[in-house]
Amino acid sequence: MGGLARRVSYLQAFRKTFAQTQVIELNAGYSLNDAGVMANPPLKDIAVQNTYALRAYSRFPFDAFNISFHDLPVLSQYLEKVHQKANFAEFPALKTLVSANLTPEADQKTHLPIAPYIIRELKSPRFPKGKLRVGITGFSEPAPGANQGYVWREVEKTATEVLPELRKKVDLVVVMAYLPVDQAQNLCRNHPEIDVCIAAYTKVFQAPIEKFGNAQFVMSNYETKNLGELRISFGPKGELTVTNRFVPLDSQIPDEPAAAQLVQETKTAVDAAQKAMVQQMQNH
Amino acid sequence: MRAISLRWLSVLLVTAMVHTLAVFAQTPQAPASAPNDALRALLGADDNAALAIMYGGETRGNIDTCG
Repeated sequence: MGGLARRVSYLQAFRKTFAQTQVIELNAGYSLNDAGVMANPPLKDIAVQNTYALRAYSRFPFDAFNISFHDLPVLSQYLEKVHQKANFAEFPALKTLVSANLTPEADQKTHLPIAPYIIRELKSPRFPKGKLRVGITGFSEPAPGANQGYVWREVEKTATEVLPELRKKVDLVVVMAYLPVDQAQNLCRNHPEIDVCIAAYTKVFQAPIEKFGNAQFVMSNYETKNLGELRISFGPKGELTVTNRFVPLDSQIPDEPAAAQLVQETKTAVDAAQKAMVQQMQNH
Repeated sequence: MRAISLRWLSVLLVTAMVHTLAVFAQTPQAPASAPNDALRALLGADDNAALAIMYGGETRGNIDTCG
């Protein structure tokens, strides 16, 4: 189930079939592998896997990628100011990173600031005025311990600052919340600015859509084996009608060839890294 | 006389090119990645949605299928 090649294939078919429906692709967090990244030395095969994942997210991009506390140990090395030009050229996915509550340490000038939100301006005859400004932001549960040049700010405090500002600028506010479920739900209850909240955190499979505060609240499917799909319609006065479903990314969806090739290249590179690690251990 | 012939030749050439292009433009071609029947069924009917938000997460660096 799941996988890049099927996700890309489904999205291409969706866009082709529903040309008047605008599409936004969101990554709610924990889409890089932090296992062994902090080891000394870092595990080489994991580093290779993350590099290829970033390559994949660059070639087949999300509109926004929420940085979770799991992603930060991987991403921090790509966000050093000294390597900004080269890294952003090689991995355009870095431009889609978003976090409302992650900021460089005050006395730390080595790392880049993160966009607190991203605004997308969409056009379709199906929007009330023919266009729609969508504001996308993200939160993560703060991580304990060292954070590689960054500080996780308290979620509620940051939300109080960021959400009213974003609300003024857009027609639709979408929040990605890498938070325990009750905290994500409380975020919606406490902040009426939120229209849509996508939570990720636990091994939830296909939770139904619920409403907290003004927000339509959904949870992403663990490991994206099923792709979450919210379809939003607007009534004559701009009122929202929202439906949610999970699209099984199974074998009935054909692989998108370029994505499938990238997946194969990743396997080959990770296998080679693992063999090199074994060889190195045997030599010691 | 020669100038007139060249002019007629040019007109004929342009007419032939336009005709050829028109034929190409009308040639029905299935898109390379046209949805198969199963995928078409999965996509469902057009419900007049203006916006679709596709979302996921927690793939932990894995871009391959799993489980």
